[in-house]
Amino acid sequence: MTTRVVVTGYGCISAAGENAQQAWQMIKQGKSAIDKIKKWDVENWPCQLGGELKDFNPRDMVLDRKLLKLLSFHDIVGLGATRQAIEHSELLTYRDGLAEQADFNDRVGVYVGSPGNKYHQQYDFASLLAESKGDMKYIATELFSHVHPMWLLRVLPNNVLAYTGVQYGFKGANQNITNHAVSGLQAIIEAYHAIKAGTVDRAVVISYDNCVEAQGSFYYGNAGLLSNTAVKPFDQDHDGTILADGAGAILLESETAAKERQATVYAEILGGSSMTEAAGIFALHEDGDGLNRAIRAALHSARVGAEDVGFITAHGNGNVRSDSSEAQAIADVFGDNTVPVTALKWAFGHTLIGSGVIETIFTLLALQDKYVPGIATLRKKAQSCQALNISAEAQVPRSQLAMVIARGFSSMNTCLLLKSFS
Amino acid sequence: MTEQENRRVAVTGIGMVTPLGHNVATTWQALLARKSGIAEIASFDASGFPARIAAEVKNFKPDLSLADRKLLKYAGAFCRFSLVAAAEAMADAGIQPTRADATRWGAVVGSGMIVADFDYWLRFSQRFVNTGTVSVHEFATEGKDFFRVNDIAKATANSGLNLLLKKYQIKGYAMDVHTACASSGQALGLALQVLRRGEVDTVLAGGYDSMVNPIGLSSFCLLDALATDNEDPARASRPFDLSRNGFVLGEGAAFLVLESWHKAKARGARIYAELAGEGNSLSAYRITDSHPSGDGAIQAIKGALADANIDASDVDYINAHGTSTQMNDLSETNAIKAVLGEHAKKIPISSTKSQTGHLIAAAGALEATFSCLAIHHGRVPMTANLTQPDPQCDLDYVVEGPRQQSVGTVLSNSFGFGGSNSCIAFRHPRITEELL
Repeated sequence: MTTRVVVTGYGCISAAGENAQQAWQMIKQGKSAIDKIKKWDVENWPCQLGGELKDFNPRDMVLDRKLLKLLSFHDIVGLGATRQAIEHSELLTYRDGLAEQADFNDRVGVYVGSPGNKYHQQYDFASLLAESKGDMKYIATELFSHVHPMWLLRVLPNNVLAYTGVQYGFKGANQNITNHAVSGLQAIIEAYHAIKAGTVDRAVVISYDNCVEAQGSFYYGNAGLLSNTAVKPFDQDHDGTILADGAGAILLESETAAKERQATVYAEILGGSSMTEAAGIFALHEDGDGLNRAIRAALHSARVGAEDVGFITAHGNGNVRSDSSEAQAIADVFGDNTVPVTALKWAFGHTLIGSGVIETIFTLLALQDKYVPGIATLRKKAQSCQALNISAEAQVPRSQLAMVIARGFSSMNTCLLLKSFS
Repeated sequence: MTEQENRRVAVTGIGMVTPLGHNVATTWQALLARKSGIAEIASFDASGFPARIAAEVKNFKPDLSLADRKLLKYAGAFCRFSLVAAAEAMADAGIQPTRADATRWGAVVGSGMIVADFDYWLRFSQRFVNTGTVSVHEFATEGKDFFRVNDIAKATANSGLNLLLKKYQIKGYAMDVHTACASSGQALGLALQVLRRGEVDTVLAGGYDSMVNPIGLSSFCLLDALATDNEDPARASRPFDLSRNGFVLGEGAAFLVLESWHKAKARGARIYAELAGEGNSLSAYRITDSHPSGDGAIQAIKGALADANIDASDVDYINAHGTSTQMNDLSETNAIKAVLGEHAKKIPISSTKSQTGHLIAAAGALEATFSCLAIHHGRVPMTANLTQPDPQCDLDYVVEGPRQQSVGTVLSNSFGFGGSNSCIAFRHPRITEELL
């Protein structure tokens, strides 16, 4: 018998809301949470918009005050979403009732999509380097008075993974994926396989990022990737994406493990696929070649046909080349104007590494409500995206099976399939 | 072909750039000749730091093509090691992706963590630091001339992966992971899973890193984690020795070409070893230390044995994580004892970090290649510098020198800051053939 993998808890922190339900209501109402950046003075910046968290309450996200001091903003948000997902799943209540908890913990995995290091984490060294003028002896002597002794531990790219283990005692298989914007979906897919293979019974999957950050925004802006109006996926006026902060976390369990504790099941994961185009770090193939192959491989591995897919949550980052190549790939696999397609980044921005798990959660809620949210910023389809069945208004899913798409630097393409659980 | 054959994975190519040499032959020879890759830091003036020694890749001036040099502009400095090591692994395997099979190739890498180079940070700090802090609002208004498109590429965590994808036109599954010192061990484990799932037929897998730069060195000096035997660099890394006092930073890259067993057999490839299994766990204890009892590492080692279907009595050699820190070496010893029981004392165990230093994200891949070479050549590398035994570390650490012996099954351990643990199992191809 093949193991089924189900979602039994989720948590999300984004510009659109401090939890998943709040953001979902905003999305359904067509309200965008994107706003002028407040973190630093953006006067005279060409791109001034971002998806910042409206309320940032670190003490609700990480209860240990001492630990809080050791963590960067994105680690805190990542751990905050994790806390929500674990509470939502009621997993710890079940564990606490077990006589033997060690075996349980050994069989809970942790799979994370991590941004790696962020520019601002290096700022602790900035004044020292500036004063040093490159004199290494100066750096060596002044180091201890300029930089926090625990600096390295503050910037570890696997902090969310590590502290999910430390805080909850989970000791199973784990991965910390640093593969740009596909990391979150790849983390879900790897966790799915670990459960399917019987390596673990359960896995927490997290992806998080802090993209509203000055230096990264400066670079993305100069590289021509950002819009200063709105994220308008597949629209004729699409002119770039908008960076955002946020995190999503879900708990996956084997069907047996979920049943054992009579958990509420929110969806079933059917796996997915990743394909690169080897086109370059910022490059992609105009025809959507890699995405086309990733979609086909995901459908094939889940043994479903294109006609079975009820709707697609597209990557739709609002960049002309990304949108049009994505549209081509979708049209090639699904045919013209058939499957309802939506995209979510108009609502809360592009959380880059965070996006995979965050957008999977809203796809799950869309399945649950049988409600494909409209793309609120859509006025008129771009010429290159005519083949997509997109709308500013909500659509009805054709079935209870959904596909989530993520694309990232290094011409990465990842597809995930999930469906309502029955 | 049987399903069982289909699921097995062969190592058919190996490549490395290490503190002991710029390729497999020189490194392996130097390792067996008891040479040390550790010396006073030469790449920058480290004379003011508490630790002034490291295992650097020495005199590295590879003859790179124009295309390679162009690719390197879009990746961190340590990627030059990865380019050369990957090329050796590909040449060694005798295959490369073709137009026909590019989508059946994958790449899984464990990448180093500081992705923006030191030179960048120096340039940046001198430009944007005003009265002690970074003036971020000035970037967009006055920083136009500071912008270079390749700087954003270099600071992207998967830029090293991109380099390999682009150079070899690998078009299937691609993955970049980072769990500190466990990174490339976990990358190999993941590559094994992807091959077993049949998503691809061939994977270029490995790791690359260098923290031998002023910020990397500073970060470990701040934590007081490094050996400070500046006067006697070759003896500074002393895994399992009573006087061990920290690890020595190393740098480099190591890659393996992994193929489905039946594909490797069908093309008559030379098979170094079967990548037979992996164990992967989280310590959930502390960020820098492993549990003294070996908890965490125990689950990884047990996992690898079970996954590879190996009995404790089958293990012929363990390439230890053996960092030369007080806690790792004790904890690892206890983990080995806990899992292998009475056999633990009979198994040769060595830490090649005694000679190569600690390659951090590349350590797991390098030590995996040493494990394959141990099987291939029937030689067990030694633990150098273990002259004062620690009564709590009382296993056979191969202290007298490399041993010549038949090696059938090997385990390779990698444990990282943050508590991720990896154990990889390799098997002699002859044994695999007998099992088929």
